[in-house]
Amino acid sequence: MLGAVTVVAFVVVAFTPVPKLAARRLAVAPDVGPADAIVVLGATAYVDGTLGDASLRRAVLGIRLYREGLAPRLVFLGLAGEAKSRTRLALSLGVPREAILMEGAEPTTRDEAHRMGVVLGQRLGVRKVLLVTDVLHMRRARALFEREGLTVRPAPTETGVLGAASPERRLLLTRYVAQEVAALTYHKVFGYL
Amino acid sequence: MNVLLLAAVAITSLAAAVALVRGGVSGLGAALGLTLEVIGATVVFFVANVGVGVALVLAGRSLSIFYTTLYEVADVSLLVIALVQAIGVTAWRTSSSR
Repeated sequence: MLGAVTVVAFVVVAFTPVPKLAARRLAVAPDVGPADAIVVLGATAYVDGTLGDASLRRAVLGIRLYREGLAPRLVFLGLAGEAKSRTRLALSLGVPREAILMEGAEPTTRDEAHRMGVVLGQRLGVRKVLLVTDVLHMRRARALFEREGLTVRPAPTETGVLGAASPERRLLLTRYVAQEVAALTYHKVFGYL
Repeated sequence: MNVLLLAAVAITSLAAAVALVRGGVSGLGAALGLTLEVIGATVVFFVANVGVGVALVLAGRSLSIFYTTLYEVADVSLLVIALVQAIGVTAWRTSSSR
């Protein structure tokens, strides 16, 4: 019985638009505009500091938003040299050093939000942030940042993932959606949201 | 593209079925049942592996033994390992019942 259900579920996930519909329900629409700071959340980097795909996408969007003049500060988060690599990238693309704030010790989104609440909200008096992260991660990230007293303008990356057109892409999208739904549930159960 | 993939799968499955029938092999219904059993067992093992992995991560965090992200247990290799576990267990069960 379970095997048959699994086969049917696989066919639905891989060969129908169901994953895209689920992802669109989870996604947060962009609200890009002026803010007090641009906060680029950590993703993954290799041990030598080379940025992973998601990390690079987020960093590039953060730099672009800064260069469009949407905020006077650009904050890079990320462990294992990720924040440093992003800072080097930003400097090489013309972002002045004094505009960059680097934080590299927070292992989870919740820790990042808390740290930003303290550093930006309490110490620097920042109210509104442009939050840069993946489109499916944004719902949870925004809620965690708002819980720290910051007003969030979402600037999601990777919106193209919502248009997954091949079975492999739809399976990947399903994995992202399942992961994020599980993470949201975990945060709600343990009272973090 | 989706149709192309399904067509390739249909052609290879049909070719295998024809070859087996010509070779005098029967019992397609029982084979399909066993296949579904393996798939079901794979799901059970996968969910169990992920669940135990999550519990280990949370225990490690709460006891301050180590700190790692929950994404660690979302590795796709766990699905392949679950399949191997399911094949092993199903093969064991069916061989012992003969």
